[in-house]
Amino acid sequence: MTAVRQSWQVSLRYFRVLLRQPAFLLITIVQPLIWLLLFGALFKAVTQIPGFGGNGSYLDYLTPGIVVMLAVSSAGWTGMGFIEDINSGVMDRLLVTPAWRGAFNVGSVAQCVVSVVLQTLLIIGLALLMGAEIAHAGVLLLVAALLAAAFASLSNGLGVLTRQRESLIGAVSLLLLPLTFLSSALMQLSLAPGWIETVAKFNPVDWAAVAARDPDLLRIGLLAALTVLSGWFATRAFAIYQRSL
Amino acid sequence: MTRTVFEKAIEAVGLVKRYGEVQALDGVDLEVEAGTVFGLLGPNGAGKSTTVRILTTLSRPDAGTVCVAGVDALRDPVGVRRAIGVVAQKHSADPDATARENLVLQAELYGLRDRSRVDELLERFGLQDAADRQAKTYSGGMMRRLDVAIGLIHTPKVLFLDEPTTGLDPEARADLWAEIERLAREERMTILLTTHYLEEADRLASQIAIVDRGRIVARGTPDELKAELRAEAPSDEPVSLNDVYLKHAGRAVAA
Ligand SMILES: Nc1ncnc2c1ncn2[C@@H]1O[C@H](COP(=O)(O)OP(=O)(O)O)[C@@H](O)[C@H]1O
Ligand SMILES: [Mg+2]
Repeated sequence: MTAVRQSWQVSLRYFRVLLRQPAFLLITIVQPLIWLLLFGALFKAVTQIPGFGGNGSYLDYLTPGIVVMLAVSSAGWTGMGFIEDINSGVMDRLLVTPAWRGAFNVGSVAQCVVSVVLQTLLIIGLALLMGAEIAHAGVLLLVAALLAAAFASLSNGLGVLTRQRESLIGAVSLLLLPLTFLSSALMQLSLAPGWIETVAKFNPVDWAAVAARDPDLLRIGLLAALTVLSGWFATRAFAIYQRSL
Repeated sequence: MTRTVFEKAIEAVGLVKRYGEVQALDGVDLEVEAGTVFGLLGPNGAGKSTTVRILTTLSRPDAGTVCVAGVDALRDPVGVRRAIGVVAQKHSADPDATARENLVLQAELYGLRDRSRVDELLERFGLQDAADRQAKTYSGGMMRRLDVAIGLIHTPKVLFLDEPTTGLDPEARADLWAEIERLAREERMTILLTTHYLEEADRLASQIAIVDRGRIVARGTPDELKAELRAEAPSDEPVSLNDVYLKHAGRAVAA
C-alpha cells in the first residue's frame, strides 16, 4: 500500500506540470485530433486498394492504428523528465529517501498513461462523430494504456542510463517510424512485403494494433508482460545510475 | 536493525573511490560523535561531495566500510536512509513545484502523512508567504532554505549538509548558521557539514577534518588545530584556521 501511495504522490508532481502548462495541455488535446483528420484524409485511398479486405469504413481500420501510434510517440518522451531531474539534482534527493524506487517510475508512467487514455477517448469520440464504428473500444483503451506504460518505462530507463537529452531524442527518432511502419497500425500487412510481416510479429506496436481490431489474449498478454519487464528495467536503472556516482 | 542509541553517528573506515583516472577518495577515515557538528573542510575537488554521497548511500565506495546512525550503510542502505537527512551541494527542490508541494512529496516518501510538519517547516524557514509559489521564482537564499527544510522533513538523526552556504549572501549565510546551531543545540541532531569557508567550520563545528586530494590531512577541534600550528611556528600573530589549512593542504581553500 505504501508503494501505491508513494507512486500516486510522485505522479501528482507530473500531473501538476501538465496542468500548469496550458500550451502543453492544448497540444495533448489537439494532437490526436490532427492525427486522425490528417491520416484519415491521407489513407482514405489505402482502404480501396484491392485486397485490403476491410469491410468497414477506412476510419474503422485507421482509428486503432492512430491510437497505438500516438501511444508510443507520447510515451517515448517520458524519460526527458528523469534526465532533467538528474541534471537538476532532484533525482539524487529522491534516491536518498527510503522510498521504493519503483514509485519514481510508476508515478511518471501513470501520468503518461492517463494522458494517452484521455487522448484515446478523444480520438474515439471524434471517430464516432465522423461515422466510424469502433467495435472494441474497451480493448483499444487497454492496449493503448499497456503500450504507453511499456514504452514510458523503457524511455525512463534509457533516460536514467544515458542522462543525455540527445541520446533519448536519438533513440526515439530512430525507433518511432520503424515501430509504426513495421506494424499494421496504418497498413494491412497482407499488402506489405513478407519480411515486414515477419518482423511485425515481434513488434509490440503491431501486437497492440492487431489486438485492438481483433482482440486476442496472446497479444494482450505479451503487452502486459512487456509492461512488467520494462517497469523492472526502469527500476533497475536507478541502481545502475547510482553505481556510476 | 536501527539502534536508536549510538555513540558514533558516523563511522567510516578506509573509504576509497575512483572515477576512471581520478582517485577521488584515497583511504578516508571519519568518526563523528552523536550530537556534534562535524566540519569537513577542503578545496574544490578534494573529495567532500564524494564522501557525502557515500555516507548518504547515494553511491558506494570501491573499498571501505560505512556505518551511519548505527546502521551498516552498505548492507542496509534503506535503514540508513530512514535515519538521515541530506542537503546536497546542488539544489534539490523541484523548481516547477511550490515549497509546500516539495515538502508534502518529501514527507510522503518517508511515509509521513501528517501535514503539520510541513507547515512548521514553512514557518521556521520563512517560506509561508511563498509556500504556494513555484520554487523557480525564489531567490537563492529562499531556495537554499527550502532545500534544508526538505532535508529536515522527517526530523533525521543525522543531517548532511554539503556546502550549504556556498553562493549565499552574508545575511542568508548568517541565518543558515543560526539555524544549524539551533538544530544541533535544541534538536540534538548530529550534523556533518562540508565547506570551504574556514570561518564557517570554525564557528559551527566542534570537530574538523581537512581533506585534500582524497585524504584526510589533519583533524581535531578548531582550537587544537590552531594550537598545533602555534606550537610549531611561535609568533605573535594570531593563528587562524586559514593558516592551519594552508599548512596542511598547501594551497588556498577557495580554488
Ligand atoms: N561522478 C563523477 N565522475 C567522475 N569524476 C568525479 C565524479 N564525482 C567526482 N569526481 C571527481 O572526483 C574528485 C572529487 O570530487 P568532489 O567529491 O566533488 O570534490 P569536492 O566536493 O570536495 O569539491 C574531483 O576530481 C572530481 O572531478
Ligand atoms: Mg562538492
